[in-house]
Amino acid sequence: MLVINGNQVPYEEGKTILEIARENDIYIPTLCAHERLPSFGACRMCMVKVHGNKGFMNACTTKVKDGMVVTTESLEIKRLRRSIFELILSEHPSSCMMCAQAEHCDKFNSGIMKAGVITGCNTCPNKETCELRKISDALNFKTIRFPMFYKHLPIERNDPFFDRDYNLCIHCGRCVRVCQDVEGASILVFTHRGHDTKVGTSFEKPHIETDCKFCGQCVDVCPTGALSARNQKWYETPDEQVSTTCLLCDKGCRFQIDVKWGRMVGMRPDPEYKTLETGICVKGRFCLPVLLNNMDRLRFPRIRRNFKLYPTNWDEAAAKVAEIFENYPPSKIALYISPFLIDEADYLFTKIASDLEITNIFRSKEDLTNINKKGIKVLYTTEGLPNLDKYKSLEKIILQEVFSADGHDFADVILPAAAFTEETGTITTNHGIMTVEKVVKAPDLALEDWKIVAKIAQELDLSGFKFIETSEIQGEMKRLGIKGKTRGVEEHYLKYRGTAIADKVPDFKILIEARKERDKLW
Amino acid sequence: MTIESNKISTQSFKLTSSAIKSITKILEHNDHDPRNLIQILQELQDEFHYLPEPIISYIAKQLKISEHHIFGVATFYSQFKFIEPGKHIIRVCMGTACHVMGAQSLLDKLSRELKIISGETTKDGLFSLESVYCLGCCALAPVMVIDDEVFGSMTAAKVNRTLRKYQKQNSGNKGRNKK
Amino acid sequence: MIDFDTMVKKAKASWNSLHDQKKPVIFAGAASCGRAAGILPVIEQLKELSKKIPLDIIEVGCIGPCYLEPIIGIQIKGEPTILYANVQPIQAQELVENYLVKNDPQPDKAIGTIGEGKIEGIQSFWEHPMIKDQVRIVLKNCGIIDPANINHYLAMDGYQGLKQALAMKPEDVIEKVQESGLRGRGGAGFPTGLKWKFTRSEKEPEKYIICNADEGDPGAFMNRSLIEGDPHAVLEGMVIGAYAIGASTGYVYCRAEYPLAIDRFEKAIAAMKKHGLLGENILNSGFSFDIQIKKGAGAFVCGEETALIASIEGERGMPRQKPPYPSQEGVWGKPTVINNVETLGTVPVILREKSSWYTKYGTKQSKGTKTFSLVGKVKRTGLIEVPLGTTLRKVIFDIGGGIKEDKGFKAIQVGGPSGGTIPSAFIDETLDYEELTKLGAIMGSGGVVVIDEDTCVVDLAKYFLQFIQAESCGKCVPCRVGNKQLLDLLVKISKGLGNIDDFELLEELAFTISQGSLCGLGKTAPNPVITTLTYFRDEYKAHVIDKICPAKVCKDLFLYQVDAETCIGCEICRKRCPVGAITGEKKQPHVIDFEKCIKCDVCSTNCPAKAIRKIDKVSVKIVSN
Repeated sequence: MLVINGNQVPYEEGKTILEIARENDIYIPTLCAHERLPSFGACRMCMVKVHGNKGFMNACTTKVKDGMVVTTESLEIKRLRRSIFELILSEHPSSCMMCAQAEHCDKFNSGIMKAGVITGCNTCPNKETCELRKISDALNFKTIRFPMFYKHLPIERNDPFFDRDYNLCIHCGRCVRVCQDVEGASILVFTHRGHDTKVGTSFEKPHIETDCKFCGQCVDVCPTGALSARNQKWYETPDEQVSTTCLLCDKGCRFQIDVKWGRMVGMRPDPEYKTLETGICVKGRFCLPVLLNNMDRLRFPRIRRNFKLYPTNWDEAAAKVAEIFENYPPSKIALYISPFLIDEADYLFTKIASDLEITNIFRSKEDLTNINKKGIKVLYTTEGLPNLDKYKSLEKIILQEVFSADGHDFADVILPAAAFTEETGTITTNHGIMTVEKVVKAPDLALEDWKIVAKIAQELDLSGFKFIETSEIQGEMKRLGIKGKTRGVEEHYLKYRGTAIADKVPDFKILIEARKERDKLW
Repeated sequence: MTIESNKISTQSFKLTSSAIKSITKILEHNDHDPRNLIQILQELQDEFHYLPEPIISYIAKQLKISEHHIFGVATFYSQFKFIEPGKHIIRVCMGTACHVMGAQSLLDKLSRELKIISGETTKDGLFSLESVYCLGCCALAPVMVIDDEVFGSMTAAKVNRTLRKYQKQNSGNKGRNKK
Repeated sequence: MIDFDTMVKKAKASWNSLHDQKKPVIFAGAASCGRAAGILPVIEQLKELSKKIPLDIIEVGCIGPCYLEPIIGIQIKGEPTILYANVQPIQAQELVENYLVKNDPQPDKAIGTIGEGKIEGIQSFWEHPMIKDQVRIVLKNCGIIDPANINHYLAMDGYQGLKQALAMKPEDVIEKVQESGLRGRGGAGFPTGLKWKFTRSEKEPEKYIICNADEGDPGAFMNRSLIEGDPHAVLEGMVIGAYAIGASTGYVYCRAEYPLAIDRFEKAIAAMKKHGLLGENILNSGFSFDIQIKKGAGAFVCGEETALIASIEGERGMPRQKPPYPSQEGVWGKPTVINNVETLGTVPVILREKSSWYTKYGTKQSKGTKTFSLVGKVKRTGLIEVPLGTTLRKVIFDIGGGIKEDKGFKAIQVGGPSGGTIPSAFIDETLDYEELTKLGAIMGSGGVVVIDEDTCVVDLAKYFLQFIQAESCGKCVPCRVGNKQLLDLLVKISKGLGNIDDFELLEELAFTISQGSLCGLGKTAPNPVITTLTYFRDEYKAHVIDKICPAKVCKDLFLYQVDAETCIGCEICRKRCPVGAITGEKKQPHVIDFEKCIKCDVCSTNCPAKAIRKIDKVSVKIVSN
């Protein structure tokens, strides 16, 4: 047992005072401590009194001892914490906390605040999630007695994906520790000494010139706005946060996605999930919102009439596909199943193929050579069709895509598909079966892949495709003993649904262009 | 005090094959062990007078550690320089005894004479001026050191005489930067 | 390998032969201080001379009174060594020639004799006013023996302590050190024996011992002198410590600013290995131990134990929170003892002698002797060693000879930037751990800077804060930001821009930094401010309220003025002024233009008539044209 603030709490060997306090819902302010990182003891906000010890101890590094008597709140502790916090604020722009109008401002300001840019109080990209503001509120801070010191460091905007404004840095060292202790990279390090201490790279090199993987973990742990993801800094508090699995490769990383105004606005690794430890990559961490919010998304089904593609509704589009299937023998029809489909969609494709006795099922680019070999006349692809001119035998092309992929302009039917963030289901990853959650609605008429297949099946009067939810498909798969498979997509694969990610995400293009000479892009 | 600046600013360093040879020798002598990093950096600085970027990224690859880590370690210690210093390094002791005995006046005098402030190098590349905390010769305060030569009980008057000695030695044969 | 007794016999014979040989011997004090004072050209001159007159020249360490340097000693067979002070090359040659050729020892130029025998008209060096009140235990060999010659150390009972230790059980060695009451000489004064005991008791078999030779306090050079004068004593102490705790590797962490000390260590280590005193199976005891030298790279904070460890490991010297203490998790995560140079230098004596011999010096809680570097505005500067508990009066007035130019004694600053400023009123207090802590200072490593009426305490506090601010590692908020704020406040006050509320802020900052900082550097950083604010509040008030710097040091608060009545119109100041601020005709009183004057002090120091005065800025109404 130990005693904290007069209450007995259970003793656990090896834990710090801070850990025990948190487990018992005792608030101790901290800035440098982070549950994923080794304790550092730098911010000194967590100072507490330990009975029998001279002076104050910091809760984040002090291990508990059986019988220890700890006080986390007293006038003296408060004085010390306030004073230390005041010192932090003397070097961190704080008008958003100190302004007499702050309360009103928060109530009425939303969106990008142009006035703030001029007055300087709203340029902080982290205003809504700032940990300093939380402590400021907890300590009820109103004034700073010390002269303010602004460091006048240039804002570093010369890299893709994230910006760095070290004028906001409080030297908590979380980014340094996550880069060193979690990623094992040591790109961001402490440089110089004393009051001149800075966080940065060797000779202030831009990250793109270093071995930085742009995993964004530094951005995720930063308690201030010093490190901020460029595409998600102006959205303030998200309306909701949804966790899902990234499908861009087999690693199966779990993300927490910020949603605002029905759009994905931000990503961060799901702190609850073990996949964090296997390393997050730049595609998942930074590219997804830009990629999937893209203006180039396919939004309406289209069918070819008089050599032109016209928008249409789903009934007509499905009927057109059914018509094509009915007009050709199954041996001349091929299905190209994308590795980026969820397991349920993949299963429905194989199911419809078997019902229609279509045996030409392609799963990779290499399989496409069979088109010429077997004289395939109809290709139904969910992964685009590169080098279209090579396949002379093709008469009809059905494209089911998220973007207008290769072959789009020659397709007879275009079926706009939902992205994996717009559907619910399961995928098989290196971590086993994981779930994907519907984070946002698909744009306009775009539809989940499995629903498109079901629609076509209905047009063909096939039975066994009447599903309302993917859980029903899962049930059928389970009954039949069908298991999903990992799709063999490795982390550095540069496309999604047949479209180069770089074509849709300019920052990603900058990255791969700048590093094309390297063996590894990240 | 405002001083018309006389400092040099630009420089470049080429990692020649002979440079690589001496770097390799230093790394071998330290068993390519990152635990000897500070010693490696000290030996590199003895050899090249400063630690330019190409050297740091080169040894990072050789030691298989992050160049940023090396830069972080190196910038922590005041001994390491990242800009090419002058041919002669003047260090003024700012220890307590020297401070009490007028080290600041001595430093100011040097600043005026060389037209650079502490931490800078003269345009001709002849002198770098630095202040250091305590050289351990407190009983002879104030003290300054030029390269390895220690000058005790310095006065402003002695400054000119001492500098002239070094300037004379180098007349016609300028500092490292002007070849 | 020859056995220890034979080794000692040989060493003693070699040492004695030095005194019995026909050829005269010159001892030249060639520690860093001697070199700064100009001993090297003297040695060159004498080497030239030795081509004509047969001479042996031996470089020794610093014997203590640095203000007398360069010092040489001349010894001829059967006579004691005569020490001469402040010698210059030509003069040195004359001294030697006069003594050796004309047999004239020139008593008027000598400062004392060392060794048996007397020379008419010259007192024993040990009777010299700076020396006679000292008790030299740690410094016994400094300035006497050739530090680069292991035989000299062996002849002075060197390595006897190690020999005795190796014959004892490690626990008994620790016991003996505990009995001696020896406390860490590097700062906090933690009992050395206890530290060893803790480390020895750790289960992990791999242990380390580190000699902290990162003497970074500005104004302190005891460790440098000891290493340069007697490196073997420190290393012997280290081997004993290693044996006691069970370490097989040791590190000497020495500042890079001490190249000579590093050289002395390197030579000593090589000699020890050659003599079987280091390496495998030391003195056939079965105990093996090796020492590596690690050079610091210019970071004061690396004197802090955990920062020092980080630095040895090749990292940034940023301290980490204790516990765990180095005795639990030190270098490479293994139990580690870190001892100061002087602590280790004292250990061999303790092992060699009876514990009671050592405990007869000092006070109840502070046993033994302590070295201090006595510098600043005192007549006799240098390195001294006195029993703990010696009064400040004895140190400053008897040993130090009082204040330079007989000015008013104002205070002493003890313990460097972590220490405090003790005013003259406490002149009869004693120098020991408890007393100094009581007065708000700390022993530190033992730097004593004497301050006279011409020193401004605000400026001094500002100076220390500048130092701390530059040397803070930057890890924790109170030290990184707090000390910057504290410095800014002091700068503001020294410029006459302070206001009465600043006192409260100073005290609040001092509280926050001392209570909130992570390591010892931060925790003690406000000490210079706290002590000066306590003892010299009036001087602060003069700056803040009256806008006056009583000592006329803070440049923004005074002006230079020529006293028209004293000025002889010699034009020296006008010619020397670097900014042309002085005007005046020959033989006419000169005038300083306040606006142009940069207060470089050149006019004042060069004025033959002492006509240049510093006057309070507030007393002058500046009429600007």
